[in-house]
Amino acid sequence: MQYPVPEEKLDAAALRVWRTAGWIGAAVWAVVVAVVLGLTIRFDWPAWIVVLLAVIAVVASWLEIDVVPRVRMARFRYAIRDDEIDLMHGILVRKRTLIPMVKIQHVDTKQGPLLRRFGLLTVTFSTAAGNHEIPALDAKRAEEVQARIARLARITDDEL
Amino acid sequence: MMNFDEPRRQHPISILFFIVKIVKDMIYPFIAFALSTALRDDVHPLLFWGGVAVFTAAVIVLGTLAWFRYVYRLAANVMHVEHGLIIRKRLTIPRDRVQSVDTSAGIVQRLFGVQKLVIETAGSRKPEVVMSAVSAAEAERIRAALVKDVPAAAAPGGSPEIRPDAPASAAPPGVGDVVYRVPTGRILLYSATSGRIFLSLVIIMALYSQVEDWLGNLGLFDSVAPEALLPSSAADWAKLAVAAFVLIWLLGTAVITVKEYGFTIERHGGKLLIRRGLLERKQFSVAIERIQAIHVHQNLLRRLFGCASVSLVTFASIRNDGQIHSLLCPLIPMRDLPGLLESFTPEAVWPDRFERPGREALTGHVALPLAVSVALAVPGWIWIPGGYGWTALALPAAALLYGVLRHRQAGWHLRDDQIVVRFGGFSLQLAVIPRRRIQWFRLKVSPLQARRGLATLQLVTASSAFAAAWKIRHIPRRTAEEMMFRLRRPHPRP
Repeated sequence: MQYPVPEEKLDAAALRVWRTAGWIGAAVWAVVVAVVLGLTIRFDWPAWIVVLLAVIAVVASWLEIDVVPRVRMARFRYAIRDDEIDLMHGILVRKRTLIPMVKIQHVDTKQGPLLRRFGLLTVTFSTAAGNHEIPALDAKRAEEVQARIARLARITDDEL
Repeated sequence: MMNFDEPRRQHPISILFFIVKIVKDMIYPFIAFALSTALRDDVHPLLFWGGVAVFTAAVIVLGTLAWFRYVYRLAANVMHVEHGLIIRKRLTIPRDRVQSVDTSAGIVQRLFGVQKLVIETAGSRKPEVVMSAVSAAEAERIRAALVKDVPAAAAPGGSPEIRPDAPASAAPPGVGDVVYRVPTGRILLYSATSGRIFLSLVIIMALYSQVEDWLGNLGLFDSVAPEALLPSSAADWAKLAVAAFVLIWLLGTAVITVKEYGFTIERHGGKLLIRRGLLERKQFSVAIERIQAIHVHQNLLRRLFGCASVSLVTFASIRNDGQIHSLLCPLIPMRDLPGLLESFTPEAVWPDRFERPGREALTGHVALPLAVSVALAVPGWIWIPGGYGWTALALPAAALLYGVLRHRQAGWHLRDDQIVVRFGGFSLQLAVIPRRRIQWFRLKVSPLQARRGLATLQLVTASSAFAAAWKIRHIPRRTAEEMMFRLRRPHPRP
């Protein structure tokens, strides 16, 4: 028997959120490099420090702005079935996580300033052994998902 | 019929413990006061002693008040606790959330014939209730009311008899009760082979160097004088080291033996009661239903004796002193293990054989330790002086052995209602995990595994002590998927 693979994707706006976060990160990197550059000129530090830092900054920013959001978007899949939540995720290491509905203790949504700006929500749900999340769903979808999980998890209320 | 609704207080001696706690909380202001007055010359002694007297009186009054305001009440299936001096706190502890009720008796408790009682609940990292002094009868009453008792008939596969091979049994058991007392010889062996002894060694050495620093800084001792007492030759040093090692080992063995002496496991229907300790008798009780998994652990030394220690993975097992109580049995011969599990944790069934990963898993098990050890050994080879550089090669050799052992010992056994995972390098560990206890599943494929069609299956159970993630590594992806989906299938409800 072939086990069904999760089909649902994240909201396309998630890509923009992650990219924006990447740009913010890049700005922080830029400040750090500028400060070190200033110190290098002022105190005659060897040049390789600032060069190395700049290279790291450029590579990290490129990863955070371009590569990671793209791969993350392409990889992330979820499915909410009657008896379980099925997640496919992971950037370098591919992960598939199954959480039986009976084990879910509560389900919440959260929204940082960046997500709010794009009208997105993250749905988190917890088990007795840690939390899981579906990041960046649009508000309506997130509410549906939260309600669905809450309903399904309650019907099959099992003790710990 | 007991009167459930009558509110009660702890034994009055617990005022002492409330006072100690208040003093602990106020220790910094007190030290500040003491220093600020004592260090000034012009302070009248009356002021100083007056301050001390006021402080003492305040602490005693507050302690008594704290005792007076700590009230608890048992109702049907629930315990209510009210406490707090300034901020009143009300706790409601439903029986369904109680994970364990623990009693112990320290020196003070023994003098007054009382017990300390700790109640732990699911979902809190700290014990929910700590009562420092209640009478034995009262402790028993609370225990009976709060530890869920499932009739033995409901627990599958329970055998309400003493096993014939149980070496010794304590009190005469009632119907449905099983008692197993761990022989003292085996407690000794457990203590002598405990790795914790070496931890104490490290602590003692760290303390010693601290003390030496202080003494040096104080300048009270002539730093040359002790040198005369120290050995002068390398051989003497070696003798000293061996003597110190043996001494510490004996000391550690004695300490652990005293702590675990008389380790007794009792099963009363659906509850386990574990008693241990020579000077301080400790009791730990937990409902069998709360046990998430069984963890069997054999370190290198214990393997030589064919013995293993068995722990319970429970959801609330962090004690208020930060120690984890989880031992089901300190040490048991491997051949007696299936019987032990059958008697006390019937949900966990010992498998008769294991499936093992194929040759394709070997690379995965060996690669990482080998790579790390080589990275460490190369600088060693270059920089260890005196032509001893080659000794650094011992490291990769040990890592290779470790990896091969990890591969050889990896295994699993899958049944409809449970999975047993075997793993470990120099030590050997096994986890018996009932299927319905698995909180979630994960299949992981690293880039290296992806190329070879392998995957790691991870099964996570609830545990407050650590993230109990049990892994079966580097098995073919198809096998891992099939296992996950088989375990995942909704289990039939009883």
